[in-house]
Amino acid sequence: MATYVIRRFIQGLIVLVLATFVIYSILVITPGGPRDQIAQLKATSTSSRPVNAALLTSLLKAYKLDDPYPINYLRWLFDPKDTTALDPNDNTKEIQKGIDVTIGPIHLKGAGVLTGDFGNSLVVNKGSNVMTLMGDRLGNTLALTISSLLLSILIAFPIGIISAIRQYSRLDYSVTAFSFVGLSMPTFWLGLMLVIFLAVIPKQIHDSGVSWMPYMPPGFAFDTDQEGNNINRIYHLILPVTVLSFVNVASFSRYVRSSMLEVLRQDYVRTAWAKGLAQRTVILRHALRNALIPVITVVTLSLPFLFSGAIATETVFSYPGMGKLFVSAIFALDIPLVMAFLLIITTLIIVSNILADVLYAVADPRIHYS
Amino acid sequence: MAAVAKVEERLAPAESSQLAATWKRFRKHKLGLTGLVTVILLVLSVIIIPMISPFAYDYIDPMALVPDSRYPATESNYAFKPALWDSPLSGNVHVLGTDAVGRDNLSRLFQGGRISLAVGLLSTIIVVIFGSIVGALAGFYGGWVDTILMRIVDLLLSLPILPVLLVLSKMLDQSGIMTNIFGKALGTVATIILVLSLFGWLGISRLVRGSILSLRSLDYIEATRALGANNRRIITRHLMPNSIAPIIVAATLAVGDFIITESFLSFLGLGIQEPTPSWGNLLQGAQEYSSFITNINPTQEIRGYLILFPGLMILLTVLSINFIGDALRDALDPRLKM
Repeated sequence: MATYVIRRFIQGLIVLVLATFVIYSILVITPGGPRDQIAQLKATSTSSRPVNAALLTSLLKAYKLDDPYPINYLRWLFDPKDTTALDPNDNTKEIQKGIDVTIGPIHLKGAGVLTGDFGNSLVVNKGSNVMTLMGDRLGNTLALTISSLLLSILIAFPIGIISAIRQYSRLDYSVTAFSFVGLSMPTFWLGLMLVIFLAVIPKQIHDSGVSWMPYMPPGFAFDTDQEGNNINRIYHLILPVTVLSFVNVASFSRYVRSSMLEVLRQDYVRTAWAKGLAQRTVILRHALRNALIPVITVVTLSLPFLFSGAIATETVFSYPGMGKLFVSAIFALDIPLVMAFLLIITTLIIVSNILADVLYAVADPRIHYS
Repeated sequence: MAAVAKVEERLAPAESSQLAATWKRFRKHKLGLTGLVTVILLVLSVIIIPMISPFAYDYIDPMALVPDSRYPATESNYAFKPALWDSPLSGNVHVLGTDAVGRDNLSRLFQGGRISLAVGLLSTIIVVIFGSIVGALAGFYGGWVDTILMRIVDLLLSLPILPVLLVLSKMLDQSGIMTNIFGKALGTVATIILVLSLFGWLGISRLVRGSILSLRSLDYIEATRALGANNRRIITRHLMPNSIAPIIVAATLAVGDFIITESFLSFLGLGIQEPTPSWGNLLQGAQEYSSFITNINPTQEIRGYLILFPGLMILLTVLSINFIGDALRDALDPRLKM
């Protein structure tokens, strides 16, 4: 098991390095990326309005574009010459950045993506560190995604189990129909509908004199005058969490149901029934434990999205989380921000893939990895 | 070669009866049948309605741009005309009203359906062809071909697909490269098909590889080889037809997925763009409500139906497609049943 985990991690590292190369290439080579931005800047510069030299240097410096293509990728990963940055508090001073360590005979000095230096935002929040920007949003996103994940598990597991036990009952058909609708629903549209029909229109009725008419907040993490009020935050979370959970419940309950159905057909469950055990014992102690094994994988693989946030949901509800930040970064073509986001999510996807395999083996003693 | 063809000819009748048997099993699946009928009706309506509609999807009713005294003008878009609006001078009746530019909403809804369905279908065709080729090569030849192709697939699958698609469409859109090639109306459509296909083939290729791998060592392939068939013939005539069932199911479900992704991209403004309508970008205008909430005018009429219909069309289409996919899964191969 230990050797398996180590091997998977080494494989994961290789995949991660290749993935960074793919992401860097996509962002730098695709038409419309930084190369085109620079070309456009140069093309629009005239003698009366010269190109903004500072912007040009910052773009060139951020992606090491002054080098030919595959080499600039390596310099973007780790650049031994890039050791200083402008002091964020005082733009005239330079400060040390990156690492400066000596391991035996090797003296390492420099900065790059490998040392966690993702650079500064160029447009969305000009000059601020990309990691700080994302860190500020992470709390909001986690509040949304974790509460939705927990809620969906709490709802989906019982209904999945019950509809498997009572297969072909009316309840089972309704659950199946519900999950079909959930999986066919464009999430952002569900969000829009809730905003219009539960927030905008009731608020309009409320404002036009019907003061008892309740309405939901249409978006944002809290009302502007209510910062720090946790009740207000929860109130604002209700609609986004509903939308997000709707989809999760649809897919989780389907997995739980089919996995439970499979287990219920197995011989050892029939033996348990034959022994005269109570229904409760057979279902919860014997069947469920095995039925949950494949579900572990599904839930583990959804973990990266806790951090990336729900791009669609956050956009519709103007919820200031990671997904919204990412969308604004795309619109502004703020490549350092986009790149950092993609790299972090890719890392999480690779890690959660490994985690899913390992957990699967831990939970199911029938599986032996070597 | 002739011998192979002759043997196959003798076996041919079995194929048509298999199709009949599949249809027989499919028919039993009530929801699948309902889905099929719905999709046929939808396809017919998006083909026919724009043809018989009195307004072209890009026709601007000049009267819509004039404030109408019967409806209170709102500060933002007085040109938005409500449902069943009849133009005072021209006498035109717009069943779902007009948009902010003065174009008929109903015509745009169905023209948008044309585009959305076409995007879903075209992307699926591209993805199935490319994915099948890659999967067949990897599964049939094995060895280093398999290793390299499948490592590439694994690598691409470890990327966050939706975020990458958003970035790619924004950058391609920014560069204007597709608009230069395909023209203003089709440029964004071509972009979205390209972007959707770029990552869409991964699942199909894995599916085909797995299926070919399991069939490759069976006796009938050995027999075909002994009859003198070459690799290409074995792949195209003997391996692919037998792995077609999971491909058809996956392709059906892919159409629905592509339609949803397209609508989200277009909704954000990163997909299909003006003047070409799609179900996604028809929803775009609705989003301003959520940012206007804090100071919404009590007299302003909020037209919920404007976002209701494009979304319902997407939901209906994708739901029907998913039902068809489910029914096909049961009909084509009972072993695949979930």
